[in-house]
Amino acid sequence: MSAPAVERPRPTRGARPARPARPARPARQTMPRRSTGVPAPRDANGAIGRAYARRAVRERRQSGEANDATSGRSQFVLLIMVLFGVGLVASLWLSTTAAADSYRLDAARQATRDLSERSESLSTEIASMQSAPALAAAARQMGMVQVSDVARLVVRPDGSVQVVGAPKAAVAPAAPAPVLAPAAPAQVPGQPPVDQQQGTGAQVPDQQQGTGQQGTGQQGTGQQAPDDQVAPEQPGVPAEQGPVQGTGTVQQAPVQQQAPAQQQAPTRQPGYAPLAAPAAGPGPSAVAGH
Amino acid sequence: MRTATPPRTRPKSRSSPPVRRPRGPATGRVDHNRRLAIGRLIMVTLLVLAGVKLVTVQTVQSGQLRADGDKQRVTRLPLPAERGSILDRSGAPMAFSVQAKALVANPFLIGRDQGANAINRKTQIAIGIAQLTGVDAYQLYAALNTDRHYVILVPLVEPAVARAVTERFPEIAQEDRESRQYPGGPLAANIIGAASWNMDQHKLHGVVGLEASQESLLAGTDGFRVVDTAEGGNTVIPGSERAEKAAVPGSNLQLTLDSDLQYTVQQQLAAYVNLHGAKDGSAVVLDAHTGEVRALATNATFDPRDLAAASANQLGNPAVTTPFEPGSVNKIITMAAALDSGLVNPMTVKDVPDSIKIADRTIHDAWTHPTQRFTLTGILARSSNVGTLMTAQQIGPDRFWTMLNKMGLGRRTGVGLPGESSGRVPPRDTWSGSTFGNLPIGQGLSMTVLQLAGMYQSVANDGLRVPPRIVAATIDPDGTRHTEPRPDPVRVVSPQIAQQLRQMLTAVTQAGKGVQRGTGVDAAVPGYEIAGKTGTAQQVNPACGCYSSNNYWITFAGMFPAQAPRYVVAIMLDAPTHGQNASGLFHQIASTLAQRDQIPVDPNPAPMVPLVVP
Repeated sequence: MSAPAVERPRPTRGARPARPARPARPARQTMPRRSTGVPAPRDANGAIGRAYARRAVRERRQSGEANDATSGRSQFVLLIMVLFGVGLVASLWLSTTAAADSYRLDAARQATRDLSERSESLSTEIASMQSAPALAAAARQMGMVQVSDVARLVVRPDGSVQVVGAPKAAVAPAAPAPVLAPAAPAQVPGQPPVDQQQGTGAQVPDQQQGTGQQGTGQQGTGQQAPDDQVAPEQPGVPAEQGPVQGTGTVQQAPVQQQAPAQQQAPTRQPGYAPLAAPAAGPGPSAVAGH
Repeated sequence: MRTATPPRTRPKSRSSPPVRRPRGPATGRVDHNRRLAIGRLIMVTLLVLAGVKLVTVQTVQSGQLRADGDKQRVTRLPLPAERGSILDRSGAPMAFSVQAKALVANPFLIGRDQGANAINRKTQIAIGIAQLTGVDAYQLYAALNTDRHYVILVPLVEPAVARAVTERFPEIAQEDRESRQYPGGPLAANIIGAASWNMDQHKLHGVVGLEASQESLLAGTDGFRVVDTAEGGNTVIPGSERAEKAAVPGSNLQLTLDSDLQYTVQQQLAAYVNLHGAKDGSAVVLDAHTGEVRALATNATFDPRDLAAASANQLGNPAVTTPFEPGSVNKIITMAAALDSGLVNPMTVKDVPDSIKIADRTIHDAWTHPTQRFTLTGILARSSNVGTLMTAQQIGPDRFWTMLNKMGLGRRTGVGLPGESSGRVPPRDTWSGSTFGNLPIGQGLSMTVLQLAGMYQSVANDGLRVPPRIVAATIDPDGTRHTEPRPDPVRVVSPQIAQQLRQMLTAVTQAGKGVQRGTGVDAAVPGYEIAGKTGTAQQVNPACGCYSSNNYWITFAGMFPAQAPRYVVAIMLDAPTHGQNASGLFHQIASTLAQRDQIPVDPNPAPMVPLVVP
């Protein structure tokens, strides 16, 4: 029983399954260690003891191997921890950068929006200032007069000059005031607040009042009877009719008493006027609703 | 290992209890088992119930439940398509859209939240908004001082201003709007029309004019975004997009109009109409070769920026929708047919008496004269009704009818404007005896001023009539330009006859003495040969159903320079009270065009043509 134990201090792997029955091995250093926790003394016929001994051998062998593996495992753990650490730092760094970038993105978006709004408002302004009526009005303001008939000089092949047509001074058309009012980029019409929710009963007067006021503010005295028979759009003051019909000589003179606030506002928001100009938005549909 | 030990201990405990058995262990064990059974039963029942419910929820109700859940989270946010612009022929915008916001509020909520402080708060808001937007503070306050749940305080403001307001007053909300800009105001307003914000569809909607008729082209297609939003708000949960379809902006519409010319013509027409006390007036300028509409003006116009102020008759475009009886400008048909027939030439002489009897009617000339020997040119230049009818009788109604059709009367030109009228020409088979006494002199049929211009365009373009068009091209959102197909031209007369007609028409503006003087001398522009024709048609008096003797349609149609026409102009004045002649307006328009286009001057005055020969 004991002899083989001596002969085989380090059993080869192949022999291990064949000889586990020998109880000799437990006698080594395993016994004391094991004996503390396991009730080995109860061993009646030795089978238990043998079993424990076998286990002890197994464990010892394993622990011996573990000792070898310890360094490898700890390296592995270290590696994993380092990886975790790097990952953590990286993700923190990334999220911080992303957050910072999102702030920058936000700022850039805002800047883009502001700029595009500005470009829109400027192009609106340009469009209204270079439209034909505005140009004509600007020319008039500079004292320019539209000429109807001009005389022309035709140079003949022999060098003499022939006058075609009768030259005459251009006269400012005094009689009919210009029909097309110049586009007025700096005018801010007062927008009447319009209620959408409630019945039109309460709101039509509002609307009319608003329109009236607006009309007066903008067009001067060319007021006419409201004519709302067909246009679902609204009761109206024909926009440029005053001068045409010879009733109004005042074109742009605002009647100040009604809407002082509207008249001052333009300086504040120069680009605002064209936006607000058509009272078309909700007004018509609200009125047409009934 | 641990599992191995308990079984060993159990037998021990089991072996000891038998001592206590007599105390009624039987009942105890039954109870225990029953309890166990009942418990098991309950468990199983519950499990079965839960299972059934699970299956029901997962299969039967799953669709409904998912829909309900989605309803709470998933929101379909519209992505509005920007409306296309309307450009003139040089690309200058005549109508375009910009982003805008509407400021809205819930006065009821403000009142409830602020309690006693509501008045103060509302005053603050009203004054604050008034400062930022320039709207009357009193009106704002009045709107805020209601119990309503939704009030639009300012319909259209710039986005930046709207942001400033909402930042300062969280009670005020902003809604997306699209603001339609008409930089020219009333410039070509009757053509372009107007678009206004439609509250139901939440987008701009054309109301009149091209804005309405080309709605589908201009409007584009709205896109949408399906996202999850926080409950009770529209805050989009990042990364929750389920579907997104980008909006397709509307196409741009490029017109053939020249906005400078349009402005001038509109101005001159309005001044002329005003000066002569006419009820109404229209004028159209066509490119002589392409038939493109360069300007199309009507007297009654409106400002699309202030649609509310426009009345119904201002919104229309009578130049294409309202036909009139043309009068003597229609004599060009008789002359064209006569020359085309080869029976006459411009110098053919006719003995023209003062009146002629056609069927049961006697037709007089506009002025009293003895029987005179008129050349065919003279008949046209002096606008003799009798001479024209004599010529018409000579060629017969069939040739006249063919020519009338070739000139495009009684049919829409297809110019591309909404509500175009075809005019009215009595069908050939309904003609009575006197019809052929009316039509050659331009009564008993009607046409629009655009059709009138079209007739003269065929003469200007060497006998080839190109139906007028106003839409030059559509430009896709990606910038691809689709030129509108040019309409098929119609050969009306040969180039030689067109040339002869132009010469005859030039005699109309000939400033001769007495009988050698044309009827449209006022149209002449020094340095240019002007070919044109005056017209005066009696209006029908609705009271008696007969022709009125004091209300007229005054027309003029012409082209210049006569030898190589560049422009065709047609004018109609409705019942002017004084000055029965529209040639003055033609003169103004032609003079403007000559200066603007720097049309070469012809220093030699047109030769005098004998109108009446001894």
